[in-house]
Amino acid sequence: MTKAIVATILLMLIAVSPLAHAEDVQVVLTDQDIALIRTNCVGVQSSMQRVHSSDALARYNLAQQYNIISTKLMAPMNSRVSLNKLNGVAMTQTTVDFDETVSEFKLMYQQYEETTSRALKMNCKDQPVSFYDTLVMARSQKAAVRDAINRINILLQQYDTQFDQLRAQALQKTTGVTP
Amino acid sequence: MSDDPKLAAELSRWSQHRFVMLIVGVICIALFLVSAALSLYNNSGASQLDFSSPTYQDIRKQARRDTTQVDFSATGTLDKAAYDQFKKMYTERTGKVVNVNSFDEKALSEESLQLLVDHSTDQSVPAQ
Repeated sequence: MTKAIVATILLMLIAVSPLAHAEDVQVVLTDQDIALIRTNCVGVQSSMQRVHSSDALARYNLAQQYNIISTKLMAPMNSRVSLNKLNGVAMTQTTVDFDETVSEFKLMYQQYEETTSRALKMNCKDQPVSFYDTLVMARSQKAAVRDAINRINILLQQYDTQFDQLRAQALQKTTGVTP
Repeated sequence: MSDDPKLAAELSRWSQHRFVMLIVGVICIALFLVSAALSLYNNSGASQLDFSSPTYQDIRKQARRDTTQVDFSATGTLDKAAYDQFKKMYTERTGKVVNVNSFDEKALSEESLQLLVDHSTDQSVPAQ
């Protein structure tokens, strides 16, 4: 019984010790690491500020282009395919997936931006471990944003391929010749 | 007016302070509406794209609305010309997003930020 209590207390002590938690990897910060974070963190915050600004610009430009592609190109094309009584189910499905992934991208960016802003506002000299934790979280959230962008790119390529197939079939039907 | 003196006194007291109450009421409503608007502004993600904020001073000029006309009609026949027009517009537009290497994870990597690097040892020893 006593051993169990001691083991529980030890586990609790380990749980509250200054560890940096990543999503899957647990990084143990030594006293030397913490001292280095205290020394370097202001410079790192300055670098992060620049990354934060350029990412905000990228988010703005990308979302603008995604919106144009979806509303001014994909939607009118799907409508036109339907009006011409062609089979555009696959293209419509890709458009739906595209819009969903764009929403996911915006959400992922929002989370990443909130975490980065928190890291920038943090007094890192007083809270080096929290700062490191926040930075690790921002890294994984940025990777999630990048992943959403990669999936969007795949969907854009997929729509292009589906469009080429539809065009080939439709032109073959009307002219009897492969374009 | 009421015949009841107590009620009359009460009404008179309220009427004396009604201007103050009006002001307090208006301020309360304004505070509520402003807090609701700020909450929407922050939670919707609009604040993160508000380049008027001093944080984004350096990139403000680079953020421009894309006013290029993209006119692909939702109606009409689909002939070769229409397919070619769409293909051209689609390729042009997707080229602006697919070939952009944004949100590169390396920008926040340890190699890039060097948070856990001891820079004091990097300093060269002055010549004797």
